[in-house]
Amino acid sequence: MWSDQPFDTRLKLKLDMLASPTRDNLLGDYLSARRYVTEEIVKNIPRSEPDLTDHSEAHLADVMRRICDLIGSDDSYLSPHEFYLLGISVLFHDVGNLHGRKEHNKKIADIYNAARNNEDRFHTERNAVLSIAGAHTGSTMSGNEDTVKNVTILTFDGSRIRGQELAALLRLGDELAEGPHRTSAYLLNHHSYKPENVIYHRYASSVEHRIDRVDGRIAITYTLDLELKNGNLEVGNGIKIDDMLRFCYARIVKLDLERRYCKFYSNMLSVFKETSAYFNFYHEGHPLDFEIEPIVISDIVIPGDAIKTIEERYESYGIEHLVSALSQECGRNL
Amino acid sequence: MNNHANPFEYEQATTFAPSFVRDVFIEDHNFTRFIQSNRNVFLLGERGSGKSMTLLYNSIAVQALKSETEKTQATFDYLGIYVPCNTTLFHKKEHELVSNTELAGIISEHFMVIGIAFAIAKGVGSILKDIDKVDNDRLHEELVYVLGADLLPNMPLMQALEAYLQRQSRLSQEHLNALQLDEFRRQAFTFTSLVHPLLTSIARLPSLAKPHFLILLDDAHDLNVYQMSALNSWIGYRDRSLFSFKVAVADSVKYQYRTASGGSILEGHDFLTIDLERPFQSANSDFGKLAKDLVERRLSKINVDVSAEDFFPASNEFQSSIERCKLAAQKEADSRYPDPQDQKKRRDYVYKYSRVKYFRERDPKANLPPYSGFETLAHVSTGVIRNLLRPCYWMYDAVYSTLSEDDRKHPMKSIPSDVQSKVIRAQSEQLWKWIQSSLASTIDNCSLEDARRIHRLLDNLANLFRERLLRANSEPRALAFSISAMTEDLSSNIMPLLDIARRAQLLYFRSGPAKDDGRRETYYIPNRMLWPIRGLDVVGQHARVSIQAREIWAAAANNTAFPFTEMDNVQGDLFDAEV
Repeated sequence: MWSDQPFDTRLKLKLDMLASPTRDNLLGDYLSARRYVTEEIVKNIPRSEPDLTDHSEAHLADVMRRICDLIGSDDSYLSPHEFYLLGISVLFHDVGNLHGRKEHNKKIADIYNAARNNEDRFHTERNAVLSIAGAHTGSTMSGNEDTVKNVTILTFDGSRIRGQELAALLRLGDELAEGPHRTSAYLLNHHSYKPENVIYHRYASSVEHRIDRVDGRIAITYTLDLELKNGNLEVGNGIKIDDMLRFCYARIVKLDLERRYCKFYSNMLSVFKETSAYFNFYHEGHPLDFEIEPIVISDIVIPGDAIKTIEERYESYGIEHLVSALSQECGRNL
Repeated sequence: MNNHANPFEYEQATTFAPSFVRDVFIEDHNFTRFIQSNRNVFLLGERGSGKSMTLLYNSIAVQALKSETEKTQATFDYLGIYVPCNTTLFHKKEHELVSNTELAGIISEHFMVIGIAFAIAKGVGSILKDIDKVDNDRLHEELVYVLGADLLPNMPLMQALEAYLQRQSRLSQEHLNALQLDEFRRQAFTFTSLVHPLLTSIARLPSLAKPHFLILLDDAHDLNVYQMSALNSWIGYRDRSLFSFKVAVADSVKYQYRTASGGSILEGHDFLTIDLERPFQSANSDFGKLAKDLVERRLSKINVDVSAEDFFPASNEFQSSIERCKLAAQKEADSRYPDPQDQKKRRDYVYKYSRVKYFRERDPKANLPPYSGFETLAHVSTGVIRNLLRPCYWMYDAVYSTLSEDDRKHPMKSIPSDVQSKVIRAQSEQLWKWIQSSLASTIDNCSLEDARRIHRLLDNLANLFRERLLRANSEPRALAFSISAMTEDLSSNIMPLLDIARRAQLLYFRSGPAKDDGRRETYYIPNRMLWPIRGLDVVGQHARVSIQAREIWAAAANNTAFPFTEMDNVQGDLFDAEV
C-alpha cells in the first residue's frame, strides 16, 4: 500500500502552479500510473527475479526520496511538466524487470502501453518516459554506456523538457537508492539467494548513502560486522573480508563515476563535487578499536597526477594491510 | 575526614589540580589515544564517564607537567587547548534579544570565539614564558598587525592578549546593551577573524615547530544552537593540518550536527565518535582492565601497593559459597554434556548457572547477600567511572573515620568486606529514595507523575529480573532489556520517560546487533546500583530480555507486573563473546 511521499507532495505543489484543467489532468494521470505500477507490476517482480535486491514500491519511494535530496530545497529549477515526467519516469524505470533483469531498461514500453491503455494522448509522454527511464542503466546502440547523451531536449504538453537533466537525476537517484532495506536479512541468513548474488545482498545490508547537497558531497558509510572463522575474517554468509573490501572499493569508484557522469548532464547536480566513504568495523557486536581515515574522491584534478585506485590513494586501504590490521584487532578483542 | 587523603575522589575533573590529573589518568584500555591525532573527535558519555578527565589530560598544562615528571623534552607536536563551554562567555543570552537569526548567530559566535581565544592565550602562555625575546617580539608584532589588537607592551604577551580579549568582550557587551548593533557588528569576531589567525601566528614560532592544535571543548551540549552549528561548520573544514576539535558531549541526544550553512557533519567522514560508556563488561574486557588500573593507580597515590582485588576483598563466606556452587554446576554440566566435544557447552553452563545456584539456594528469609569484592564494584558501576569511584570513596571514608590518629599515619591496606557491603547497600537504598523524593525536582522537564512512572517501571523491572534469577532457565542473570512491538503512540509515552531516566543516569542506552542480522537495535541497562537492595546479582550476564512496549507502558503507568514465562524472549549469545 503506497503512502504519499515527500516527492508526491512536491509534485502536487508544482502542479498547482498550472492552470486547470492541465493541473487536474496531470495529477490524475500521475496517480493512475502510480496505482498501476505499485499494484500491478512491482510486487510481481520477485516472481521473475527472486534473487534481485528489492525492487518493490519501497525502492520507488527510496528513489524519489534520493531525488528530493539531490534537488534539495531548490523548487524553481524544474518546471511542473519536468517534475511530472520525472515522477512518471521513476515509476516506470524498473518495470522491465517483470520480464527479466537483462536489458530491463528496454522492456518498459509494453508495460507502459498497458498502463496507459495505448491511448493516443500519452504518445509524447511515452516518448519522454522511454527516453528518460531507459537511460537509467544499460548501453547505447553504439555499445558504450553513455545513455543519457541520447536523451536530448524533449517536448511534452507543449513544454520544453530538459531530458538529460531528468535522466541524470533519475540515474543518480537510482544509484543511491541502496541500503539495508533492499535485502532480506532472513532470506540472506537462510541461504535463500543464489551464491553468486549473496555478496550483492550482503553489500546492500552494509551500506548507507547520505546526500549532502549543501556541502556538495555524497557520503557512503559501510558497517561491516566481522567474524573470525577458521582463522579467516568474514563479513557473514561465508564472504571473506578481502572479497568484500574489493567489492566495496569497486562500488565506491562506480558511484563516483556515476556522480561525475550525471553532473556532466545536469546543472542541478553540478554542486556535487565529492564522494566520500567511511568504514565502520564491528566484531562480536562491538565497534573495533580501529581507526581509518575516510576515503575522499573529489573533482579536483592536479595537473601531472595520474589516475589512482583507492589502494594507491590510501596506503591504509591496501587490502593486505587492512585485513592484517583487522585480524590483529579482532584477535586482540577476543 | 580529610578529603585530600581519600584516593577515590570523584568530584568534577575540572576541580582537580593538573598534577592530580597527570597522576591518576589511565591512558590504556580506551580510545583516548585518538585525541592526539588530527581527526575531529566527539567524546560521548554521561556525567562521570571520564570526558573532562580525558580532555584535561591532553591539555598543555598536564602534558607539560608529564614531560617534566618523566624528565623528557616536551615535543609540543600536539598542543591541547582546554576550553570549558560552561562559562559565562559561552552562556551569554544576548542573542535571544534579537529577532534577526543572522545577527543572533553572529553574537553567539563572537562570544564563543572570544572564549576559545582566551583559552588559547591561557594554555599557550604557560609554554611561551621562556620564549626567546626576538621570537616574542615578532609574535607580538604579528598579533598586533593581524588582529588589529593594541596589546599592552609591559606584560607577558599572552597575558596582554587575555587583557585585550577581556576589553573587547566588555566593549561588545556595551554595544549590545545600548542596542548599537552596527557598532557591535563592526567589532564582532568570528573563528576566521580571531582564532584561525591567532593559531597560525603561534604555529609560526620557531620553538614550536609547526604544532597541531587540539581544541578540547568540554560540555559542548551546553552550547546554544548557533554555537553548535558554527562549531560543526569548523569541524566540516577539510584542512585539518593546523587544528582539530575534540568535543565532549554528555547529552548526545541534545547535540545537533547541523552546520551553519544548513548541511550536516557526518560520523566517520567528518569526525570520530568515542563512547566513553562501555557496554557492561567482564573483568577481562577493556572496562574491567581500566577499572582495575584506575583503582590501583589511585591506591599508589597514597603509597598502597596492593592489587584492586586485595584492597577490596570479597567476603570469605560468599567466596566459598560461590566456589561450592561452581563445583555443583560443573558436575551438572558434566552429566548434561558428557561428549568431550561439548567443552564450550559445559563452560557456558558453569558460567551461567554457578552464581544463579548461589542465589537460588539461599534461604528466602535470609538477609541480603553480601556485596563485596572488586569484581562486584566493577559490575555495580555499570561501566561508568564515577559510579565506580563513588562507593570506593565512601568505603574508604567509612574505614578512615574509625581509625585512630596513629593508625591514620599508616596507609590503609584493605576495606573489610562487611564495610563494602554496608556501603553498597546504603547507596542502593539511597538511589531508590532519591528517585522517589528528588527525581522530579532534579531533572529538567520531569513531572512528579513522570518520576512516579519511572519508579514503577524500575520497580517492576527489579521484580522481573529477580523472578528470572530465581526461576528462569534461559539467561537468568540478564539485567538489560530491549523493547519490541513499539508503536507510535506507545513510543510517545515511553521514550520521554526513558530519556528522563537516561539523563538521571538511572538507565543507560546501548546499541547492539538485533536478531535480524545486519540490523542494530537500542537496548537499555538500568544502573546496577539499583539492584543490591533488591537482592539481585549485580554480576549480570551478556544477555537482554525483550519486553513488549505495551508491557513497559503498563508497568510504568499502571504498575502492572511484567509477565514471566519460561519461554521469555531472551537474546543471549551475541554478547557472550566477552565472557
